[in-house]
Amino acid sequence: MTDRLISNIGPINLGLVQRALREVSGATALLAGLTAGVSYLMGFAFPRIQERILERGGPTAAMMRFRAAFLGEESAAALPAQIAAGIQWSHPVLLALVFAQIIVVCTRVPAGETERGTIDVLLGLPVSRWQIYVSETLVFLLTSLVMLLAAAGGAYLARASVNPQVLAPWEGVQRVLCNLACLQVAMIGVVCLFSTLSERRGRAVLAAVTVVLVWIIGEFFGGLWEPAERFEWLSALHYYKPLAVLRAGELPTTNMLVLLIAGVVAWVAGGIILSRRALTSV
Amino acid sequence: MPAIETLELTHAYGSRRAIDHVNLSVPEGSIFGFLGPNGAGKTTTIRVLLGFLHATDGAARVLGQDCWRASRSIKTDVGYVPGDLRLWPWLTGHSALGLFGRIRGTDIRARGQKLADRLGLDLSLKVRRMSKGTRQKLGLVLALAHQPRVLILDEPSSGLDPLVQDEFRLMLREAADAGRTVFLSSHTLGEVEDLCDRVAIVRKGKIVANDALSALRARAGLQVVAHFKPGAEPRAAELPIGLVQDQPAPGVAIRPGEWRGRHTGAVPELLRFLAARTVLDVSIGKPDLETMFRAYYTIGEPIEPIEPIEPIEPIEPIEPETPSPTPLKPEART
Repeated sequence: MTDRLISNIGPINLGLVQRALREVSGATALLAGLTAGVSYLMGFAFPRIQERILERGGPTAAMMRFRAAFLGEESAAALPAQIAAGIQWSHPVLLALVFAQIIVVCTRVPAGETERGTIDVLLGLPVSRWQIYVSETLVFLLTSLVMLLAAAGGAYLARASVNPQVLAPWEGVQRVLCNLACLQVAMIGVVCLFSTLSERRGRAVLAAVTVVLVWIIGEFFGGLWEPAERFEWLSALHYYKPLAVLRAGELPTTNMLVLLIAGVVAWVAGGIILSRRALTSV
Repeated sequence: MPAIETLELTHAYGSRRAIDHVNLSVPEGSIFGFLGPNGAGKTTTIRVLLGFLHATDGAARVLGQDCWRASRSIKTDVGYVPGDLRLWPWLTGHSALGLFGRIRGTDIRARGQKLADRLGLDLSLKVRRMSKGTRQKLGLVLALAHQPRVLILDEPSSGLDPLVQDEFRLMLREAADAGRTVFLSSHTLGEVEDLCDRVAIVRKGKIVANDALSALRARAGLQVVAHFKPGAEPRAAELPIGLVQDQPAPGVAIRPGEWRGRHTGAVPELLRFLAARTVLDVSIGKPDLETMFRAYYTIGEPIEPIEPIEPIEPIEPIEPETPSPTPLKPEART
């Protein structure tokens, strides 16, 4: 006689969660470690660079122009501590690590599973496609939180060795982290959508990387080239402005809502596609 | 209620119909053989039954429930082994039983261990280190461990050695004896012949035969293998009604004087025809599944239902027109 086990909590299947955690834990641990290290180095280096610039009489005109493109026009009036933190949390290396983790993790199901043929086994089990999607998404969110905490942890540790005069208040950094969490949600939604549309993981990854590049380039060129400014609103990065958050001293609720809604809409669209499409190993 | 039922089931990949108006009815507690070569539509049918694919037209039901809408609840009672089983490489046999049990909400470890012992499977091995046959064994253990009411097996014994195949067949028989239904898609005709109560043959997405094996055999008529004196083989125009020469299978060499065919007419006619010729040897018997299968797949042969043969009348003594060099020894094969 077989024993009954608790397998489902609402739409979440614990076995699927266990499986997904086992699959993504290695990559997430590696990328989280890297992120913590990079965040520590940035938190250590950027305030010191600001300190040196101040000692040498302030930034040059070229530096100001590049900074404005990178951080927005408000950088001209920002304090050195805010600029240091603003550069750290907008830095492409940090964002690339955060996005890479999402792309690696979220393209596994269904694109990755379809490509390697394990989707037949997965769908042969008594779980609905929505259960698979919801259970996997729970793991995506958990591992993204790990990445966020790693970035925050690295930055927090670096603060101990930085001159307080060039150190942004921790409350402000926490608000930036909230904004970054919403950006992660938007990214998860978009990558899940691409994954449900693809039968090959490579294609889903390529589509996601292309979108991220378009976001970054669009946002960067929007600050430098007027015609590109009209399309800035299409970039998720347009709703993630660390420097503005640090200066305003309050949560960017509108931007956060836009990111959350975009993420949820893309995620639901992905779920609907997954629940309706033909799904077998290729 | 049939365990598996399809009504005019059709699935198309774009403009190509993989299965075309397939009608199947698999009674509960039976072992049903589903035969066809690669690309005939077997796997597509199975994928529709399991809710991986949406039927383009028609309906498919397992245990009375719609395969697409009730896919999740159906699979509580279904065990499935895909043709090319691929599992997550980090799993071991033990962790696979734990994980599948957790997903199913049933502890299947004890029963899984018993099944693994029967198949000689080492559950401590990681999937990435398993050979195809070992992986297939694990797939069978995972499909059978929760004691499903319906087993859907797509080429399950590929890669298994002959001794394990015997044990596997025994396990399927035990499952059927316990009232479970087995839907077995296979290329191994001997396996199907040994196990199955009923057989369906699919060709280019259409069912060309669907009946009990005994009924298929009866319909297929008699298999005739005769050795004539070289050069004395009969021409097509000389054959009696109901006797048709088989087209040789590609790559199979025919010896001089050897003649193979099927006879669906009256037996006395056949014997009279043979007695009138110089026959060195002859074998007349019921065809095996392979012969029947080949008959449906003879290259270029249109799909035609085979008419049932008339009941065999008692054979009258035959007066040979010319003396035969060797006595005619009809030998019935079963």
